[in-house]
Amino acid sequence: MNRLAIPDWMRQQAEFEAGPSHRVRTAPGVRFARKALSSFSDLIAEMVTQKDSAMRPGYLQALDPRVKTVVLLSLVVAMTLVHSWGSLLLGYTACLALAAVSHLPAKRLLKVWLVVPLFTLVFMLPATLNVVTDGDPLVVLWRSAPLGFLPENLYVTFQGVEIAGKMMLRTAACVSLALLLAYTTRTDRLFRGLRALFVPSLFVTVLIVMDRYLAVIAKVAEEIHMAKLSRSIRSRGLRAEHEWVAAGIGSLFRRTQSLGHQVYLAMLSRGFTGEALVIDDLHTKPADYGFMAVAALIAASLVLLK
Amino acid sequence: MHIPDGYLSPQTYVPAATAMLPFWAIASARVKRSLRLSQVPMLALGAAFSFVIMMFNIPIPGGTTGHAIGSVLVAILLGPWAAVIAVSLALVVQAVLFGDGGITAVGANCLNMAVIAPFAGWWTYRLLVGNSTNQKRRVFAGAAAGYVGLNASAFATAVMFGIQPYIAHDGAGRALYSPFGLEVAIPAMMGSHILVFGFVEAVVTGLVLSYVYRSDSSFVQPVVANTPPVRKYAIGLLALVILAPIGIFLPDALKAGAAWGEWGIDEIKKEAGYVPAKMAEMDGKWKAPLPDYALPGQEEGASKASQGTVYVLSGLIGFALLTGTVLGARRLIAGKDEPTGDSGLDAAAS
Repeated sequence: MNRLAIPDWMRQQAEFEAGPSHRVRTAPGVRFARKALSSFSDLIAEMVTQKDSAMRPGYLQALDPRVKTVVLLSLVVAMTLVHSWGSLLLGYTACLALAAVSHLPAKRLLKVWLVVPLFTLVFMLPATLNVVTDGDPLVVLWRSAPLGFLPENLYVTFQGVEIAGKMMLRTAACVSLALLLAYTTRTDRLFRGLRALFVPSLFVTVLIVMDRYLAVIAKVAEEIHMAKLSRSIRSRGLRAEHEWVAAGIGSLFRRTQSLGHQVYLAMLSRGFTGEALVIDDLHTKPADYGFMAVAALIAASLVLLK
Repeated sequence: MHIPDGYLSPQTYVPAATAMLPFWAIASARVKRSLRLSQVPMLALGAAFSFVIMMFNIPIPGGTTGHAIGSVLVAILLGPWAAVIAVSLALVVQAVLFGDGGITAVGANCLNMAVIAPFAGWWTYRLLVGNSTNQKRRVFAGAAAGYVGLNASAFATAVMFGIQPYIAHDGAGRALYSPFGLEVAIPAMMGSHILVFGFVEAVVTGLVLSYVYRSDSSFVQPVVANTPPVRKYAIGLLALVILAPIGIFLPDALKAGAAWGEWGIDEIKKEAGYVPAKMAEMDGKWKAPLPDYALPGQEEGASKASQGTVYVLSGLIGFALLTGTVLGARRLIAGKDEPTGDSGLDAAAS
């Protein structure tokens, strides 16, 4: 499996980083284009890193994708059902342990692991206040005589912090489980694993083709933005920039159509008759049963822990 | 608008996923039925296109940026049922591969962004365009459709967030999932979408359509040639109006009494033993022109034939009022162009 991994000499850095967009000096008023350019570069880098990580040796990488898909997605559901600190901490710890034994790229994962819980923290901040979650005062922010619509007392409650903390932990564990699946499974195998969840074959076929060409479409979008940035001295005004964005999306649509036609002809030339045939090389091994047993044990502990 | 895992209770995400099943099944069946082989890669690339256009940044006055979800645009370009599949798959990939939107919330996110947004937008577009090939009208209709679709989707998302504290809480009444009730979630979500993001979506949808129509005239074809004629609907509706008196005769024959929850003050008093103060206060505030589907002065114990006749008459009046209002609004908003044909692209995909 390792011999399929991208060799080191093809990589200038130990891990893939976003492309040159991060070093482009942005003209005033066109930061929107640079932000989008960075997003596309990040997306492509993310896809390459995921594929690379999925081909490296590791505990989860070696498992049958069907088993892995069903088990990890079941654990996501289990995490949304539990509410005690013990269960949430156990679930999160299990995720970290699985990431460690699967040798996942910590630096890149950390970005996602931080962004989603931080978003949750911002979302939940108002919920820590007594105006949303009544409870015992933890930090008093405001105390005064009644003044118009302002509350008499405004404080962070112990119960509010508890709700926010649990929500952050649950969200972090769920996103970790999703990333464990994405970083340890080649996408074509992952989507084939969805068949084990009774996802119709049309959807799986379309998903596999979509995955194959997502990076191509993203690359086209990246080039559209790079062309814009490299020709921009300053903004031409909001209306003109909106028209440029629309032209970019419209142009992308036209290219998507054209590419779709070419892909169709290529598929026809390879004998495509409407049904995607895949090599049946997925086999359930003793290690998969072991993983199922461990996961069942974790799930039972999650439910039983109070 | 992507709801992450952990924000929605199972009481919400399970029904949302269940509600998506028939949409996926119908979309799949429709696409399969009209499936030319070429549509498999077109759908896949349409899904990739849906994914990527969500990443385009759009400048907003004040120096910040926003995103369009593009569901309405995809519905107009590929057809609403193709949009159900394309946007759903984009959301699935975002959730599973990139942690953007929750896995348990996939059903809810798909319901909001792959069904409610495209269909609300598509129907708005069809209503405003009719079968006109006028480009300006289509661009305006596309912009309005984008605005309506995004806000419908945002409203559904706000409701999903807002009901959490009521349906999932601990013994002390504290929220187990999103803690903000409807009174917070709806204004917070809708304020920004009605005032800012709705217009971003409208501008993007309208301008992209303008670009596509200018660059490829084959897109400027009438939208609804295969729509069943209005006459068929009218005959069906009139048949229902004529059959409406069944609603009087059957409950009497079965001694069913008033429909559950539609009690008058007298029935409430009889059932509950008292009339709630506010309910008594509101009673009689509004005098309907045809109270209880009876003519003014018609006695309560009038014959069934007379009741049935007035029931049919009430149905005809309601039918005429609604049809007149909708057609008037359409004429007011969309002008006088008459529908003339169909769009090959939409028909192929939907």
